[in-house]
Amino acid sequence: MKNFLELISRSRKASIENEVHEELQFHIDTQASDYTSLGITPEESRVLAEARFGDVERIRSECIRISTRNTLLTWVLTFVFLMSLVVGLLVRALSTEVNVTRVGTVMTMIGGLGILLVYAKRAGSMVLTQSGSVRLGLDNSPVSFDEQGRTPFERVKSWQEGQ
Amino acid sequence: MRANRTDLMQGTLELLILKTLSREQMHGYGIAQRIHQAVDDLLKVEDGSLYPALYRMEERGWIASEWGVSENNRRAKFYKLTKTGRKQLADQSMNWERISRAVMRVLEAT
Repeated sequence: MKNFLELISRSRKASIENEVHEELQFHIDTQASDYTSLGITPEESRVLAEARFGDVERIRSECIRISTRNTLLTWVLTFVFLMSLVVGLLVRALSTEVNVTRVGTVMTMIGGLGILLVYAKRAGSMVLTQSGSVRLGLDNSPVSFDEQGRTPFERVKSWQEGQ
Repeated sequence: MRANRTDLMQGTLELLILKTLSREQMHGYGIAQRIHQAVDDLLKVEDGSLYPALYRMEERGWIASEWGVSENNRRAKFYKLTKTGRKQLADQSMNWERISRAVMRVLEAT
């Protein structure tokens, strides 16, 4: 059991590491490509892009740490609930004792409900809102702008400059 | 580069990301570009610092991600605002407005 969980955990972590690497690499490559299109040499573009990005290793480690703790918990919970469901069903199917069958029923219910809850939490975070109705700095914006179209930060800055 | 750029306050980056994603789904590079354009280099935003913030926000359910194909035909991770994220944006915007008003009052009074 422990080895199985470790295997899942290791495999999942490797997958997360690859995804984080790919995502950060995409950012740096695209930035470097944009610099190159401005006439900067590819070598200089790469150096500038990496400098603008910051400490890649630190950021990569941080992203992996956040992502791993989240997915590992989900995996462990799913596994525990799934085991409860399977064992519960087996107990219900194989036992002739009424009390033991009840235990099986409870385990089945816990497992089933648990899996549903884990799934609902994941699905809940994927419920997307309609995009396009709110525009950056324009009408319908939750950030309040004054009559001159300034953000709160701009108002403070403008006030400071006036002093 | 301007010498008087202001460092981001804690939590401000999340608000900027939420606001940027309220318009459309974007990959990390697009979010960084949009924020740089919007703040006109007044705020110091290190590109890489976006990613831990994005991962934390996804963990909290404010945003969701999926892999897609970018405008330069490469695989990229796109982020979208969730229903929870949209509520968070409204809450944080109101909070930011309140703090800003309070600071302005103190500054004007002294």
